[in-house]
Amino acid sequence: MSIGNLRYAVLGLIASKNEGIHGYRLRGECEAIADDFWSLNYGRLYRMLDELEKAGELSVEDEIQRGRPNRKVYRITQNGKQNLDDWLLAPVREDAQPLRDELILKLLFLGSDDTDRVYTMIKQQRSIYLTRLARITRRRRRLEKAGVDMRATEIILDGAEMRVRADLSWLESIERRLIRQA
Amino acid sequence: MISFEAVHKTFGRGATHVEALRGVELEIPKGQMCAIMGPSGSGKSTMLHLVAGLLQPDSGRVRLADRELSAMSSDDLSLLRRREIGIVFQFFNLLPYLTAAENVALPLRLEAVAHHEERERVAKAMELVGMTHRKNHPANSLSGGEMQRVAIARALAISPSVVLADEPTGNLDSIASRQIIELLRGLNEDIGVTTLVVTHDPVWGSFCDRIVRVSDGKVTEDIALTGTAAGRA
Repeated sequence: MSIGNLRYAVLGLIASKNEGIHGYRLRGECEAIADDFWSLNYGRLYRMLDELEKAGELSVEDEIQRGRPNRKVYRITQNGKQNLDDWLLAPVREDAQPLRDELILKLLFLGSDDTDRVYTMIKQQRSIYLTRLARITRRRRRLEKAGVDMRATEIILDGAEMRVRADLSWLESIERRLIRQA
Repeated sequence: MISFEAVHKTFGRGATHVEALRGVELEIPKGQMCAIMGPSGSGKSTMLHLVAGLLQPDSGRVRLADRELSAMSSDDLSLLRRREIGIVFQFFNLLPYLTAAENVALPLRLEAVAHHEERERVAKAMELVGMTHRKNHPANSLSGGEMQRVAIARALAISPSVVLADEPTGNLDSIASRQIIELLRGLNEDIGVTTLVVTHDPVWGSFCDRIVRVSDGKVTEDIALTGTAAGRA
């Protein structure tokens, strides 16, 4: 996920909590919707929180805890809400990512004499995609069982599932092409 | 455990013969839920029919638990099927004018199970698939998803050690399909029944512990999805 989108993902999550949210729980919420789809780096998340605070888009309050260190509770400011709304209403700008560049390059550069290696590569790639699909399925089942509000999560999971399906179909079409050529 | 050892199966003879399986090797541990995937005509349904004892291999061995199916008489295979193997088909195969509960009771009647026990087992199976409220409805008044639930209940009524499902979602819309595969997965997790599912759809395959891909009558890929025993072909 790009830095730009991480900013709005964090703002969006915090905006959905009227009572505010502390860093640790925010991390958990990010994990619940991110997991396999965004590679979330916690350092980056905390730096983003600092930046948003400096930019006046978040307010931070120390919550006093008995017997434990105080914790920071984040809330979205009016300024943050405005920026989030502007971003939500703007059309999606990010260019579609080309399918699996690395595999395409390898398939292009492996000659027609290397059919066996191409098949091996297709199998390895299929295994990766199916494993990813199984992770998405496990995640969906786990969240459903935990009674999590699936509204937002379901959209993300559906999108991830459809992308893996497309990748798998694409691999199959390469395979069919190779069989026809053989 | 289910195992295939060097299993060959050919249909027809001469110029029109089709080699459906060409040396299949596979072991499925007890309690595992395994998807068999592959293109049409790759031999996946033949594998399921061999485990069900509906077909015999030309050579090689198919085992279920410690029994070698290829060495059993057709009478013994029928008994095994009635007592140990629950089969779920794409087109449900329910008797349309019987009620849901009567359909579920059929395999128990064949086994002459006592009436009170039959009632209990049917009720339990209907409960497991969430169809108690529809038990007295004729099968032909049920939706596709409901019919498949009843078919699964019928497969479970005998308390099978193995459930075999041949494209169980092939005739259902995506919502009903998800519910059916979720139901099969839940039953596998809750009662530990070994489950073999033939499917075209990778999403339904992804509910399993493992996906075995079959191509041209051979196992070409073996993908462990949950860290249970499965190697690579």
